[in-house]
Amino acid sequence: MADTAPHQADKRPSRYAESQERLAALGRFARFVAVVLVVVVVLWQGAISLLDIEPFVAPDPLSVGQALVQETDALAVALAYTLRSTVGGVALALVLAVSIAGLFTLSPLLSRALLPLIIMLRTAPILAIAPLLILIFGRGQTTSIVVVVIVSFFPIMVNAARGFASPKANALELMHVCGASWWQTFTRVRVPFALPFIFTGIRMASAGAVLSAMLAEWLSGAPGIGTLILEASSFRKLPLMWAGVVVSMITATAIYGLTVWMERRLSR
Amino acid sequence: MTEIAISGVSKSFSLGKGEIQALADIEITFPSGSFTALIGPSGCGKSTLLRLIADVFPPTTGSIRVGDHGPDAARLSHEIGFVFQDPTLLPWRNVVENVRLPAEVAKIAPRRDPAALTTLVGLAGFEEARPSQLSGGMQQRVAIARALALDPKVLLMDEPFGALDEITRQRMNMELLRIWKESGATAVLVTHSISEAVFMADTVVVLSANPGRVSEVISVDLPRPRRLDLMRDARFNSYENKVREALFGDDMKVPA
Repeated sequence: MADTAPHQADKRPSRYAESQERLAALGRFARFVAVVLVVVVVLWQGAISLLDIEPFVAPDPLSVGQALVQETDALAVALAYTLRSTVGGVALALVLAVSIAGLFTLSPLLSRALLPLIIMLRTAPILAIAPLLILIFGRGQTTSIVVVVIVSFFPIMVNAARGFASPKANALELMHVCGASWWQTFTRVRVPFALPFIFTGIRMASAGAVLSAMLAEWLSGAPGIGTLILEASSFRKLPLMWAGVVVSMITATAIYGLTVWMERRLSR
Repeated sequence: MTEIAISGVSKSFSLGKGEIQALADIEITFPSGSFTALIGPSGCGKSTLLRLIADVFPPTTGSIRVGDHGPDAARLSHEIGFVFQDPTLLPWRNVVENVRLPAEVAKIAPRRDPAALTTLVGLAGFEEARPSQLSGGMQQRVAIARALALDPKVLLMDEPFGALDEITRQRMNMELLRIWKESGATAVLVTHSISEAVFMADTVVVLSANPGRVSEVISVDLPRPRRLDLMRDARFNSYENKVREALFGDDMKVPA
């Protein structure tokens, strides 16, 4: 045989080398985070000492750290609440967005009928419809989840629709010639080709998901980290408020990092 | 057996507001078990004709018969194997899994053993390889094995080796002839290589463009099995010249 391909062993590094590589990358990342943390704390403390900022404007890192330790329980309960809204909302948005984008592959007519409605939902400012949502869904978790769904739905749907349309005409013709049903073509060709696109959508949605869950709490008073920050502020518990801010920032970054990692794993 | 009869077929596509006619008044029969090459300038509708036989879309007018029934019934009873210009393999499946795909979709047992087919196309030992680990020629071999998985009565090929280099292509053509002979299928090959058409086919159908029509049908009366030294034969060259004449006509005499 003349047309030989490079054997797989030549192309890919061994398992061991690969895991070593990953460990080293993790180490580099941990060092990077540690350096950033130290720099932030030093700058923070430095600014407060140098500029003589009063504790009721901005507390020093130590008292925020103390608040983090002392109020761990309250913070954890609030964070768990907000996380449930975020994850539940993104999961529900994912199911809805992928189903609707899937339906679009069935008929172009359907997409022309549904898209304007979806875009209307997208352009309506969430702040404007939130009071309405609170009226309908109450002041509990449901409203938070619905807000997260509304914000997360669009990026996932747009990317999923692009992904479902991404297989080449030949791949679809192949399935047709094999006598495949719409469902078989969908599950065996369109879904696998769309997965990287869908993960891009999840990544884009997750960036705003924590924010929108907290926003919903501000408006409805549901007991999550958003409400914790707001209440700590009105009771002048500034260290607790800042602790809440730190926790929510770390959470949002962690969720984003997780989706980036999942996306990269998948597209390899 | 499986004769393909095309009578009075035309095909138009709507393009925005306008309409273009890809094929007009096509009237050909491909005898059972024969090997036919379709050749013509780009835009002559040769790929369209192949897709009409495979029931990818229906003809605008006219009728097509594949064996005893229409193309739709032939497709649904898995009598048609199709090889595209690019291999069109599913990248997350290995070689054998790709070959098994038609049987999976049809929800029947493969009519030919996927592992044996992989060996038949010269890929023994590569059963577990992913498409990305194979060269272009090897990927196209997988596509041929996949087309044969349900032992089709009709084998349709749309410039299957068009993207390959001349040397690989020549070798693949030899193997394709061997595989076709062994399968007994009625084969239709779309090509834009004159020598490939003459070397492979019993009949070369020359199409002209705008709209696509059959301009000439040349039967190639050369013995089988065909070997590469046939290409040095004077008869081979005269068939090539006939096809060239049919393709270019009076343009042959125009100075460049």
